[in-house]
Amino acid sequence: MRIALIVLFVFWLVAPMGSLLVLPQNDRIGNTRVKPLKDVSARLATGKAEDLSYVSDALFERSVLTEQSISARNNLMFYVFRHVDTDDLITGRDGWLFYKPQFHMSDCGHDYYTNTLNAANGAAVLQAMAETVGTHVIYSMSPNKVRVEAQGLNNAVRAYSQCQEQNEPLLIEVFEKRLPRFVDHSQVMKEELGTPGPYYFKNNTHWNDVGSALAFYQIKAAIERPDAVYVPQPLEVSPDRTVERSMSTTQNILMVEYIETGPALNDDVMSDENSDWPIRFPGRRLVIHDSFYGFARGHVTAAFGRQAKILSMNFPSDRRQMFAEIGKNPDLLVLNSVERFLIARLSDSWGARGRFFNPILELNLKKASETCDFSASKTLKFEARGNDIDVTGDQLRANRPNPEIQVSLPTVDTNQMRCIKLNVTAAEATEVSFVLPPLAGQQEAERWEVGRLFNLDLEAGQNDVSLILPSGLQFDGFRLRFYAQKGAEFTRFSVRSAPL
Amino acid sequence: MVFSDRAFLFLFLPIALAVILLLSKVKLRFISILVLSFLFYFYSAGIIIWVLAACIILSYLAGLWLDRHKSPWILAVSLITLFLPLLFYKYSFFIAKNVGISAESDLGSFLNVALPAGISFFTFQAVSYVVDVYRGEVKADRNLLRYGAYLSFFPQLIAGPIVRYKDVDDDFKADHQSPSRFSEGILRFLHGLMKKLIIADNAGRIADACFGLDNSEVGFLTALIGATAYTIQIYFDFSGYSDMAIGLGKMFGIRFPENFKAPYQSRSITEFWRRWHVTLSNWFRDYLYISLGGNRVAPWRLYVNLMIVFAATGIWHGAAWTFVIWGLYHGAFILLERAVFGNNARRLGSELARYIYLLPVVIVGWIIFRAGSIDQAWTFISALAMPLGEDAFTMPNEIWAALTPSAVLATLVGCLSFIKWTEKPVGVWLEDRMHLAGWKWLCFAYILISMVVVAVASLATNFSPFLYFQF
Repeated sequence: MRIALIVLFVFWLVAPMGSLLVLPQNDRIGNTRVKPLKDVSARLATGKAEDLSYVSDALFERSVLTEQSISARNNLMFYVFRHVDTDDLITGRDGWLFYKPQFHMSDCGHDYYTNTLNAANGAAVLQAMAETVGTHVIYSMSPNKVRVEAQGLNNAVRAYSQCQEQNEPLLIEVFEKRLPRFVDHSQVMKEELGTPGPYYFKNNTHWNDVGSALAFYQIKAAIERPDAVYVPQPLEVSPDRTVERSMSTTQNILMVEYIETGPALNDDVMSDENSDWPIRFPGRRLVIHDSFYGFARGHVTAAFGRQAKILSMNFPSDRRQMFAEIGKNPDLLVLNSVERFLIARLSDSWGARGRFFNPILELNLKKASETCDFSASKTLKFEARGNDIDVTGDQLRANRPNPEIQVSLPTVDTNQMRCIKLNVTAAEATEVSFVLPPLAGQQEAERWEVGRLFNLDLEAGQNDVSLILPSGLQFDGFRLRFYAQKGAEFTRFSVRSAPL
Repeated sequence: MVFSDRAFLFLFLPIALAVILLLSKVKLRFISILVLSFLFYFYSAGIIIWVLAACIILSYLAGLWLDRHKSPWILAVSLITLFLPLLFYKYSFFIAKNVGISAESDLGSFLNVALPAGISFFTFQAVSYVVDVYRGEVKADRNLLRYGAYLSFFPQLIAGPIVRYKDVDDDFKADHQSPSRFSEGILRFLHGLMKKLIIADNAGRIADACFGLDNSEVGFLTALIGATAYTIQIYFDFSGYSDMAIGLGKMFGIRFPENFKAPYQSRSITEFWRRWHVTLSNWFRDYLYISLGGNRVAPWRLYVNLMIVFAATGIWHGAAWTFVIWGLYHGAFILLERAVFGNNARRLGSELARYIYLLPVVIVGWIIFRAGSIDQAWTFISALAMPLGEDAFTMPNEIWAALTPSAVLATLVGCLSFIKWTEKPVGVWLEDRMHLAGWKWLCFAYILISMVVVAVASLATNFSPFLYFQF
């Protein structure tokens, strides 16, 4: 028996490494890629515990035994203790499972307002500039589950959610005032509007059928009747029918199989044959979303109509297509994000300083070069902002890094799109920001605010850039910010404006 | 690298076992122990590995010298030299801070360096060896590699037990390996891992949440839960590590002394210190207390000596005033027991004494030990004294979040250590039963369950350091 025990122990010790040799290796655990096995010898040579830990993580994550261990532990927590508290998930009251990143723990600081304003203004600039090339952009936000299903909160979850509770009103206020075409799906997921909840699955981060349908009717209204106030119609939840769904959250994060029964709507509500269902919007549509419209993607693709292209952020193949599709100048672009990623996405890819803006700007520049006629254009007045820059005729010399000048627009033109021609000779390649005043639909906005700008590259030498500014600017001027060092010189500078 | 880390369990340990056990010659075996131990230490301390190497060489040379010349001067120089790295790495910044040197100053940043893992343990072992050679209790080892293997032996290198040379030299000189000893080692090692991964880590989660609170949020219930959870955490963490070390030692044919003898089953603080971190208590008894005169001094001097020993015990645990106060606090109760009961303090009272005296005193002591500051310790102790105060039973959300069913269950299981149900520590008790006909299958089942639980816990969770690494 002693020998058997020793043999068993040795087998136990070598099993994780042995499994790497004899069994297929994992390239991901759940929905997370395993750590890359790179710089192994260099890391091992440092003698640092964290480097050894990295190498062992990278090795053992590839073992099926690690995956099985994680799954076994989480199954025990989920099914036996009925309580999960991992890096990503926590169980609240009555088994409601919440995704921890939605609690904005890392953003519980004073800079949250600035970050939010920056994101909302960046998105508003993208909307306005897309409008100049005929693309109508709608941003929609799938709310964090915790905001809609607050009955699932208990003291333990509140330990994590305090930042969410603090930041949420701020986010809503800023986006409602700064982003004109913004759809907050939480607004229709309220019991007092007539459709009974819950709207989310208990064990998923996603909507159930009821939440999905409410969200789609809301986005449908925003597309079809953008200027009307939307009043959701109550949906009928079937009294005797339910639907079963496999929970992607438990599956992908906990590696726990779980099928949850959720409420079902009456048959005809989300049927492709329902005449009220398809979204009526002339022209081509492009919908970019994360997993929240995923259910609809499979079930009611027809809702967006045949001319719609629906791309999910979650699919790598779709990601490659996004920029190309935006560059095809769709008539409608719907950008949907879950609340927890909204600030990050709009500050980055989805706003005016991100990759989504590049195809829009190219379309704008192309349209300007094809349609703008500067033969009868006016040269616009400009002045240095403060003591930023010395102006001598058409010569500019920076007195400090990143100097700004303010360009005046003809007051009479503020409600029209206008062509702008920027001529400037730069000694070095540089970047210039067009800092815009409050845009059409923005409320209570300061004249100059963080994030309300887009960037253009200037080449070394002569630049002759034509573009189209959006209509509805609430102030007769804009600013140009040159990303240049103190002492940088720009010559032959002029800005001209012409009606489109 | 810690024993519960998967890098150790499933990478280093199989290789170490294979290398050491497959080498049939004893000489090759201790050379391989030395190499593997340095490799182990390299991943625990990085480039500060030279401190260990210097400690080995210095104490080895001192031993040789003292073996020939029993000179107190050589002893003094040796001890000062051996203690210097400990003083520099562990205490110099503390001393500097207390004389007003800030961490931002040049001197402050020079002194504020990372502590080499386990420096307190291997320094004390080296000192014990040198003193024992001086006292003539052991002969100096003339084989540097074998002596190096003893001092750096990785199972006990960074968190004890503090093994004296005379306790293990025979095991290093001859092959005492056997299947029986190896299988006992497996049981003990896995038992230690279970204590660490299942009890200590879960209780630690609760303790960390309580001691992470702002002082203004601490009420009676929070303080009680935090102090109790930490009482469980520190015992199961440290004794779990000792069990692992003892188990690993047995697997390699080296028998270490017991370090924990069910300390929460004591009935007095005097008895507690004969059961808690036994090898450290013995070290201070043999090399400090006896050097100060031991029991053969006037009563007032005895009390002073005891307080010196306990102050030293406190500061050994860390360079902070809370540790000094903790040591003096225990010393004060030892004095009290001596004053009241004389030499019979160990047999203080009945079983009830454990619950009404020993555990409350020890738990309050752990508050002082765990607290980040004297202020925090005082806040917790004050809160415990006011069970009827306003908001005494109000708990912040952070505590609710930490009180997961698994953490609560593990902590409650840990509380079983307060109850006396065997004469021996559970690990030793299990080892004894491993060879009894009626019990061996149960022990085998326990080992199997432990293997599954430890593999799941280790492979599925991230790095979780041992508490005693900092000492």
